[in-house]
Amino acid sequence: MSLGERLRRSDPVRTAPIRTFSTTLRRPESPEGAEPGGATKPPGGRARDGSWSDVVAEGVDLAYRVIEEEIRLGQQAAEQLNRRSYAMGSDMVEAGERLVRYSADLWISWLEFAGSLARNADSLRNLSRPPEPEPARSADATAGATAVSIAITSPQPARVTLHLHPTAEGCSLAVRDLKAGDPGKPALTDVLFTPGAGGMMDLQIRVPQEQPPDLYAGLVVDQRTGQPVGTLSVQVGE
Amino acid sequence: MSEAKPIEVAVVGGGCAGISAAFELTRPEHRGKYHVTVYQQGWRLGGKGASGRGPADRIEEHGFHVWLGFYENAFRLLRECYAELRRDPRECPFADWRDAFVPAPFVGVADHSPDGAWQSWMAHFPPVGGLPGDPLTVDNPFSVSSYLVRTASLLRTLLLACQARQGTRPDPQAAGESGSTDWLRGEGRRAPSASEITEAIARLLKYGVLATIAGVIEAARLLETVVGALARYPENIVLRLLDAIRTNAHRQIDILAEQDEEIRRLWNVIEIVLAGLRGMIRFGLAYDPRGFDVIDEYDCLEWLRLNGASERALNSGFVRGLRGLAFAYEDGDFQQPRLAAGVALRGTLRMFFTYRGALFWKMRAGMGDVVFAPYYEVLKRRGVSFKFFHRLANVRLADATRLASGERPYVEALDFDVQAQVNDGREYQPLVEIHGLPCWPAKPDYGQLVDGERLEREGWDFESFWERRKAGAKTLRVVNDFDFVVLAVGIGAIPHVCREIVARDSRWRAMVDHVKSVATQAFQVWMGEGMEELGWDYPLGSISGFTPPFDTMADMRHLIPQESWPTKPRAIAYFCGVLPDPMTPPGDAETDYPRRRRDEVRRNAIHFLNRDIGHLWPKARRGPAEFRWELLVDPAEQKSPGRDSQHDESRFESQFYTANVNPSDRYTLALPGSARHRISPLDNTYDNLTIAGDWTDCGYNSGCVEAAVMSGRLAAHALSQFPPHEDIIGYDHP
Repeated sequence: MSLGERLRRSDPVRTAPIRTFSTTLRRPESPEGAEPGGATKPPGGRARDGSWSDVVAEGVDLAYRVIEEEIRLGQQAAEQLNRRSYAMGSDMVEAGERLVRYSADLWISWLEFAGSLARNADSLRNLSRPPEPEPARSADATAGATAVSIAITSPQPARVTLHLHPTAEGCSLAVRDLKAGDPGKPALTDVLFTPGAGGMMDLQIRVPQEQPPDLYAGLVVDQRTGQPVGTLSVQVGE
Repeated sequence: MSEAKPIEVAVVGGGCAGISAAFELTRPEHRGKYHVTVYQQGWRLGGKGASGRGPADRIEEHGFHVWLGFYENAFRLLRECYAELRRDPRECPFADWRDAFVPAPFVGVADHSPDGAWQSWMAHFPPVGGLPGDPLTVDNPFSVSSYLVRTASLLRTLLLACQARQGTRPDPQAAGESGSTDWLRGEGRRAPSASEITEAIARLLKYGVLATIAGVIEAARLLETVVGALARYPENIVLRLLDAIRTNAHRQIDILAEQDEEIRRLWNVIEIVLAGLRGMIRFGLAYDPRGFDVIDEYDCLEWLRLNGASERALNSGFVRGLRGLAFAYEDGDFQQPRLAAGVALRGTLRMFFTYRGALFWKMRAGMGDVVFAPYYEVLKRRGVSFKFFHRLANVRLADATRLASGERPYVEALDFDVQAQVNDGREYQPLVEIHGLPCWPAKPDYGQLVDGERLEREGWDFESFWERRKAGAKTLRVVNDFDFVVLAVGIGAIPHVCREIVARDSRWRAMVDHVKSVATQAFQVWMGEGMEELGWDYPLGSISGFTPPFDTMADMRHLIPQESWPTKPRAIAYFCGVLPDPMTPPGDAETDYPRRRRDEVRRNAIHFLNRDIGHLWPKARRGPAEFRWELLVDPAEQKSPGRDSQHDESRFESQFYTANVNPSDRYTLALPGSARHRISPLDNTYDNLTIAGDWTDCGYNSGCVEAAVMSGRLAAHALSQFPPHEDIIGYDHP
């Protein structure tokens, strides 16, 4: 048998579910009242709605929702700052933690908006797409990804997984402590992003000798805005 | 069909996963790009969900099957199937999917009372808007944030139930006087700042508000708000609030629980809910990129214990009931309850918080009749070929030494035992029509088989793993007979049919070593008195967490009209549970093994009916340990009224019972630490092979119809890039 005769599966875009950011990267479901089981039409079928007005309406609706949410969050932030609530009964670490988490909410809103734009662009493309199988899109698409050089010092075997959203491009990255699944285990704290040569970011990770084996994970944030732009995990041991 | 030669796909195994893959690959929109052939052992589709019509056309199942209201993928595909089928309602009783399912809102658990007796605790789960399989209209119902809010809301509801049970009404001033949570009410309702939360907790404690149940409820209301905006607060504030609620609820309710059985049960659930909330926050599940997978190394009981659940709550009927639904007993040993915490949490949250229509949906006929017959008919119309009586013997890999540089290993051939030949080389017609409904018979139609009379006389058991007799053999070769393979057999069969892959591939070895399965046992009884007359007052109710070995019971009276009894029975009930594995696994040559295990199930069932059923059906026994055997309806007796009747336990022989011990029939477990050994249908190690089944890494790694369907859809995606990941509901889930 010659090799050319045998068909091969194409490589999958991904092989695992997205357990995080799923809120922001889902495509919209069919509109209410659609045919039962009205999933996205398969290759060759038309786009979900196929109407410009629907696409535009959805985009506008999402945009307004994002803007309203932003205004609301902004009002709350201002209110909190006016009351000097950050200084009340909490130290600066806690304030920082709040800021990061607070910005996470904002980030979700922005990602939703960005996701809607991507979805709408996709819908528009579908209107004129030939009936060929549409390659599934990756949630962690690498377009526009920031280049990162990783250096790890570890007395134990360690594997690093870094997921950066495309919007991380050009950001000054920072990472929070990487926590283990078991809250009883100490966090991995010696993790640092620094600007490298040629616009690249350097990521230095040092795993202490006594670090218990586990998967340590945490958020990567934009240092300037505090917005999460990705995740970093380090599998120590095994 | 397009003019280009279609891509040949061999789907091995016609259970939920294989059929879902076939359904996806043959959608009309693919324009005939894929031609699918389903290879099926024996005479019927369905795998663990296969059913058959026996004497009096009674429905005989592998066990009690229920579709949960969150089975979005399973319902969605089946609804599409019925829509495509376009049955005429004048001719077929199940023309629409809604005809085929009935909501079953009564769900309960059995629990010990303080005097050691069993009591059933039934809850009515209210209908929720929409129907399973409807398009989703909310952005994403699967965020941890929404789960936290719903869980906190449930906590408050449970506390209110305790308060109502206590006979007191909420005191609107109790918390209001303290001014602690005014911002939670009225038009000015808003998310409080962290400092406001801190101050509110301090006030709740300072003014002694938490010393009343009303105060604890007020604190739960505060918790609801806090977890809804978790990102805004330091973790320690939330935990502090949770612990304040727990400590004070403990003080208030423990005393009441000693005197009131209902409050005791509610308190057990409250404790579990509090532990779950605490764990979700403490383990950072809302932010961890691994989602709930991060706690899959823990057993769910261990994880709840780590987060404050007491032994009493962990041993409660509520927890045992959930465990029983998942057959979560390693090796079938009731002393070894084990279930991965992440899987348990995901399943529980989805079950209670994302169901639509009803929590449970029961089928109005056999699962084969309601699910697999419609799929068979639709797939036949689409041009799918079905090869019954084909038992997979070996998945043969291409010789590694012949692979070109960089070429991946692949399946070169599939070896089948042909169990029986069909007369004149015709195609086997598997369905029979009963009351206008296409159904699967409980036995093959020997009349269609070569030497059928002899096969029947000699008792060939086409579904037994230990049945080695065959009529012939067949080998399918890549390129000539297939391009791609969807391997959709049960996990228990993998070591037997994928010997080469398991020997060569350490990941597959780890998978078969760690992703375990368990045998199950089940029986069904048809009775001459109604369930109410037996003392059971919950129409279509199902109960779990009852005494082993049959810890799950379901009232199935709604099936009576679908069967063909000269004198109709007045009640039908199904029972099921795990069946412990023997110390030494049976050898391949132990042809007698299934019969021995089936005898064991008969003995178990008789013992159970004599000893235990009286706790649920007090009027079904005549003494402390004797079942009223005359209640059982014997189809042979109805057929021949003059026949001598036995009214002792030998009458049980006329009922249906089964030991599901075949490797492919075993239920897939989700043991702690096993999820990471699962392999995804999307994995491309063998580039012309994909796998499908509830044992694969399919996003919802639990043994159930939904997981199997998700897996089948993923397998279809692996070959055709359709459906998109995003359309596999719940695949991307925390």
